[in-house]
Amino acid sequence: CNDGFLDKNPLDKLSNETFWNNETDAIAAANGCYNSWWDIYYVLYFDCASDNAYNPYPWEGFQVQATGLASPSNTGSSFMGYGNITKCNSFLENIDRPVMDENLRKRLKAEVRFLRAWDYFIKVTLYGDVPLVEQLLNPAEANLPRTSKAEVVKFILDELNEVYQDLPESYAGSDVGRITQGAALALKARMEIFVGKYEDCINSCLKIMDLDYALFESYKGLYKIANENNQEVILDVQYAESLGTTWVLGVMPPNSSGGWSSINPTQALVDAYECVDGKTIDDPTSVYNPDSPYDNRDSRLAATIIYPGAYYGSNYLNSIDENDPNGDYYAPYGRSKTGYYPRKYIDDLNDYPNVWETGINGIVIRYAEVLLMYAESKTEINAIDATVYDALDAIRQRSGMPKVDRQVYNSVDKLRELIRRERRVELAMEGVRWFDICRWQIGNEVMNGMVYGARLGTVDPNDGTLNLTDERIEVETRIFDESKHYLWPIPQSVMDATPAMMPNNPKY
Amino acid sequence: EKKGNPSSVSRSSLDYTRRTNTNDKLVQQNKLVSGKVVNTKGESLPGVNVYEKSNMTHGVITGLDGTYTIDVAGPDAILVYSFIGFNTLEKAVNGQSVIDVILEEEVTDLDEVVVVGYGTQKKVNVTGAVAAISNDKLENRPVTNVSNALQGLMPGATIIQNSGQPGKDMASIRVRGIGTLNNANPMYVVDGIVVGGMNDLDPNDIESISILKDAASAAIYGSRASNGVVLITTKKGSNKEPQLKYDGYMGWQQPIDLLEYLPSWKYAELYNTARQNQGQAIAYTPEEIEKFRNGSDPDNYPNTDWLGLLYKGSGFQQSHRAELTGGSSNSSYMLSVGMLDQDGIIENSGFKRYNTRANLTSNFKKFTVGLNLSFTYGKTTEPTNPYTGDMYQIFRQVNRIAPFVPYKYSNGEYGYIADGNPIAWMDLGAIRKEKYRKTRGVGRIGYEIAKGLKIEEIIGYEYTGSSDEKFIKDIQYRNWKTGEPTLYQGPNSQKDVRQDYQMLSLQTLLTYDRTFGKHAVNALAGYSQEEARTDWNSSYRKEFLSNELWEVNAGGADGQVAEGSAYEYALKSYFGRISYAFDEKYLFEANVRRDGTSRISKEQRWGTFPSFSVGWRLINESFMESLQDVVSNFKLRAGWGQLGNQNIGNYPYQQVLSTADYRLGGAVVPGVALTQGVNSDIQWELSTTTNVGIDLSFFKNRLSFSTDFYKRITSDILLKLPVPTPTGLSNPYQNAGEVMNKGIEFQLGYKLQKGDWNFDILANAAYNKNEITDLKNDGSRIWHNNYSFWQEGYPINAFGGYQSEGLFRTQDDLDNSAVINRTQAGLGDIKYKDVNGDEVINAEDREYLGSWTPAWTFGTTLNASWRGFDAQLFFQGAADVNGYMKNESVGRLQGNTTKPTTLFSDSYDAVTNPDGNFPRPLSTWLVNDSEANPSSFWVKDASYLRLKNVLLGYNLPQSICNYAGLEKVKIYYSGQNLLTFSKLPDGFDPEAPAGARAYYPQVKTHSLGLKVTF
Repeated sequence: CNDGFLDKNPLDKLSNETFWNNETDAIAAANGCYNSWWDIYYVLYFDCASDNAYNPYPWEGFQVQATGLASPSNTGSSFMGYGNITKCNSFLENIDRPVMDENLRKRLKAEVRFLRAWDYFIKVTLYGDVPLVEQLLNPAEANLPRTSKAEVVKFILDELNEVYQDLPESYAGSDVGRITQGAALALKARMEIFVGKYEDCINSCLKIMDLDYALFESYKGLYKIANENNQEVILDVQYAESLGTTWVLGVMPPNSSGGWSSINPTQALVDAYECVDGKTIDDPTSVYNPDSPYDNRDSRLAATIIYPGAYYGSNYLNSIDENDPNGDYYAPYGRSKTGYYPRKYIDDLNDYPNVWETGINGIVIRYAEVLLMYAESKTEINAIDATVYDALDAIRQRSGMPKVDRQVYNSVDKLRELIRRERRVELAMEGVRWFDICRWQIGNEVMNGMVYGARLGTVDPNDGTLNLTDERIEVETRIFDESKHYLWPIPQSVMDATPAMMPNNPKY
Repeated sequence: EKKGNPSSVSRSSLDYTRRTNTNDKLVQQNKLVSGKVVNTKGESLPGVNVYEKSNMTHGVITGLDGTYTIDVAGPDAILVYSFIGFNTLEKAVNGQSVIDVILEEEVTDLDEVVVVGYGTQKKVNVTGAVAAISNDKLENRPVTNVSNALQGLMPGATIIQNSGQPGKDMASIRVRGIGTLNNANPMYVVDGIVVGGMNDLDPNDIESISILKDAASAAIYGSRASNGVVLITTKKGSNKEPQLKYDGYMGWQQPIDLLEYLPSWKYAELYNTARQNQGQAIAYTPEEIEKFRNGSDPDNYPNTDWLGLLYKGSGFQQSHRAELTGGSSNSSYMLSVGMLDQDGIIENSGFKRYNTRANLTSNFKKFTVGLNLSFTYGKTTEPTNPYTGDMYQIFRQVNRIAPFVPYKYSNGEYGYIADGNPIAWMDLGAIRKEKYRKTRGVGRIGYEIAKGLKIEEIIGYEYTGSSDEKFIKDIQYRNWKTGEPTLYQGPNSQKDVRQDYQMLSLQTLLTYDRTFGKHAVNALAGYSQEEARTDWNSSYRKEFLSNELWEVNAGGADGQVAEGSAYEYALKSYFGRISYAFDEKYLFEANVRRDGTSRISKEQRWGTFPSFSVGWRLINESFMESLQDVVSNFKLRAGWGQLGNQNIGNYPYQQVLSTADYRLGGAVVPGVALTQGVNSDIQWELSTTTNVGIDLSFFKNRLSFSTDFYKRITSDILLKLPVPTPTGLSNPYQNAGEVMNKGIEFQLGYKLQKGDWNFDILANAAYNKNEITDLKNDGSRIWHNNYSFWQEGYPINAFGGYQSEGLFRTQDDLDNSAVINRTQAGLGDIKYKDVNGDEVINAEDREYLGSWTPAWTFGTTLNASWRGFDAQLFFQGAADVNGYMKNESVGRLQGNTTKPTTLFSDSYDAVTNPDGNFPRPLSTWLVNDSEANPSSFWVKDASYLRLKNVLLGYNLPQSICNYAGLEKVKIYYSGQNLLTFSKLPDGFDPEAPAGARAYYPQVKTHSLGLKVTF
């Protein structure tokens, strides 16, 4: 009964046993760890979990967290899967098998260890304690309790500390987009600043500042497909024209431009931008005019948000006038519920043959963030010196803003206020705001109460001139409980499958 | 040209000669009576003995054309018509000179033969549970495929049709409930060869269908038979002169059960109310609502009937088939050609099928050689769309898009929503074409080694080449006032998938069949091996030069995709059967099969599947003799056996690396990764069945009754049970689950003849209780979507959700009851039961709410005929079953991508409709939503009774046929799905898939048919 007649094997798939022979296999396996390590979807949507934006469609995964209604059975997006970690663990257990160049082996190992650390970074920042798994598990041994946050953080920092030296400063050709030394250091800095290890963070930032990064000349140009892989980008999630495209940009444009209006910036974000004179809008001496609220503002506002009266596509956005049949009045389904639309990456739809199929890379960490982490860490340990101001000035001046007013921002408190605002506007709609809210513990202030959108009125279709009423769009009421909402709920399905992980995060 | 009925000629070799000494020299005032004798089908009967009751020796026999002339003693004489195989009939002359009679065939089960695994068996000797129907139940119904034709005919086969789409309207078949959480389709065997399905067959090519329902009858098919076996035998030739038949019909289909939506002005009013209920400002002023109502400004305030715009296909269908049968004493043939052409009820939807078949048999000395060859070409067309690509989205979109979106503005520009305009998609005319070309050949050669001992070698081969070409055209919407391009849906593209399937099966059968005195022995030993391979490739290009060119080469090379693969499967088997009967009273049968499959790891791929059954024909016992006038058959049956299910994918036990590409430096880089959890120890699912049955008939088999009780336990069900999340791989299969099906089946038949009238009724009913008995967990629920779960103690297709306690109608009740979200709660919301009493409504309060698999299924056929006329009513239905109303079927109030059905007319309103039984209008708040918060409010009794077929036929009088040189002509009308009785709201089809949002509706068909025998 043992003849080969009954031996049929998959004809188009490799078996794990017969794989792992040579360099090609090793590279393919490393590439497999990059697959789905992160997604531009999250880069663009994540601010909807914060006070920067609102996601009107619950099924897209970023509404319930901000509203305060997330529960184990309705978590919105979840990052509790262990698929990426398992891919990395499988790679690391097998990578010593192929016959190959040892330097390449070392580099690939370092890349994959970074990718695993990245996944744990996301988990530990969102969920706190999570099971720490460093090797392949069979189901019988996988019912693991949660490892303490401190231990997971230590693991991430140790890993990054070990691997960054094995990584090159940059790549060429078809390797562009792989993990670099800078990326490992930048993630390390992010993890350090998240847990308040300011000295370590400063050191990490200084190491990056020694590398070959610089601010890109134009803030607006940073997000153009023509300027991909520019010298400011430290870590990005890569896409490629035609076969490796992403559809996600299509969710952002207004309905009238063929988009879904899925990501809606809030009034609170708009209000955070300073005026061109470097003063905030609540400063009575500023040039702010409430009836023409988008004029004379930090140029990053116009680069980040499409607001009523802004020219977009082939007309001036009108999301505030119910009587304009050609407008994008906010109320009907399919329109931005705040009246605002994001602009980064979709500034000019003509940049893409089809906005639903673009090869644009999504920037995850860029040099400006490193400068900001540096300035913030120095400030937090009260080591304010010229380098702090210089870092901030470099960022501000790139966007045409005046240098930091040393007279006004002369204390830890004042500088902290400025840095937090600077960070919010510089990195707006890039997916980092929620992490900042958590580490600054400001949820109570910014995640509670009514979310507002633009003021209603009319928009002159010829030049975009606004004529605003006093009526303001009310989007939703948010609830924030400090003892609960800094952590997301772990999905019930994960708890059901892994009872050792009980209990869920407090109050869920 | 006129011939005698050959079958009757063969019957004429009987002992009527004793009475044929006609005595025509009798009394002078004798009266001359003449007439014609035909059978119930209107065929003339030669050789019938006609004699005077008072003088049995005075008789004649009918001639070749069935006519007779007899002189009788007087006007009060009584004539007797007798013929072997037919019921004897008496007729009073009553002064008539012409008496035509119809003889009814004698009802006898004794000789009835049913097809069983690897052979046939006399029905009286069957000890297992086998349901069989013959061709006459499939004829005269313009059904387009076999599965639909079986619906309601056989107890224990639950057949549900949930689409009316031409080419894809086949029904699902479940034999005795659902025995697995995986693929529960039965095994199909056509002319001895295992095939993937039966819907390529022309129903008129089929001679008989048997369903092997229990393990005793199905164990001979071993590891594939646990969901039942459907055995199909195609028609054979005859040993007579050639006979040519034509059968054709033309029909018109219409949709049944379309959802009904409210007009735009009513929607606008409800939308306002919904917004007010959420504390928002109204969206439409009274003036605007008036404009919707009076239609004065159709560009800005339209009321678009989207369904009316979609259901515009002709629905015309036609079928034609010709069949030639004949042969000589040692050879026979059956040749047929047929075509079916259906246009759908929406445009660009249709199906064409061409069938040809040649079945040949020849005997030479001790050899028997046979060949069945068939070729089928089928082509399904359906519209595509540039948004998601599939037809499904067109139905979905039409059921969603609001009536206040215009189809077209007055200047010809399309209206649209963010997802597009479904009728604009239809207007593009882009089509998906799915074609298959199936060639099947079964060759057999047999040799009689010794008396009763035969060896037979069977070679079966099937080749199916199929293609699936999906062309998508792009569309640019414009701002209707400025003409500026706005939403674009595209690009145009073509995906072309080609697939080759080849199967080769070799079988050797050794049979022995002898009777020694009172001992009858039948034995079978066999070997079979089967090997199948599927090769496929697919090519894709986009950005075609125009929407009018769609061959792949006309597309842009940029972004082109080529894919392809192959998979294989092999099975090797040894099997045997022995049956023994003593004195036609005591029956015994044993089967065994040993299967080895490529789908299971080397260590465990061989399995053995036994069965045993016994029967007792009490009717042949001496103590029954006194009752033989009343009881004509009485048999008890009992059986036990084990079967397998290896419908578990081709390589489920093998650990492989998945493709996991990434993009670097502007290009895609190949990657692989470990993502799938596998379990190399998996085994097939095993089902153990016990069956007990009784067959009874009375009054010369006029009344027949049969019943079966069964219990089937399927164990080792392969489940992808959740494994701890840190495993990080997809859940592997585990032999974990156990499901029990218990049931009872009844079949009742009654036949009555009164003069020229013939009636018969055949009714069947089956009850099945389905229960998951083990999931290898702690008894907790496994939710596989948010309204259905698996759990021990519950049926497989269980609904779960909140228990609705009606609507909140008083503030007091609302304030004192638990709700999901207090800030959004209001009067007119569904009141959910706080099951655990914790004053919060959450996942813990979800309960079992019913099952969407029917517990009861039934069917009834009523036949009546009178002379040349016949009529049939066929009802079919199900009871003790639930349906779920999903929000997209019910409708929603969320702007232009949703719309309310007429159900919203009864929306609760504290002032205007305080007795309303539908929840209050809400827009984005989802407390009452059937998908966000599933509850029993949306679970409905989906029991139904459907008038599946009405048939009215007329056989032209023989004289007219003769005049036209034809043997027989029949015309008929058939109406399918004419009436449905169901408690579901209007527009909800009880057979629709549970919780479906959109599907191709079932159709009602009126057809006119013609059957001619030349």
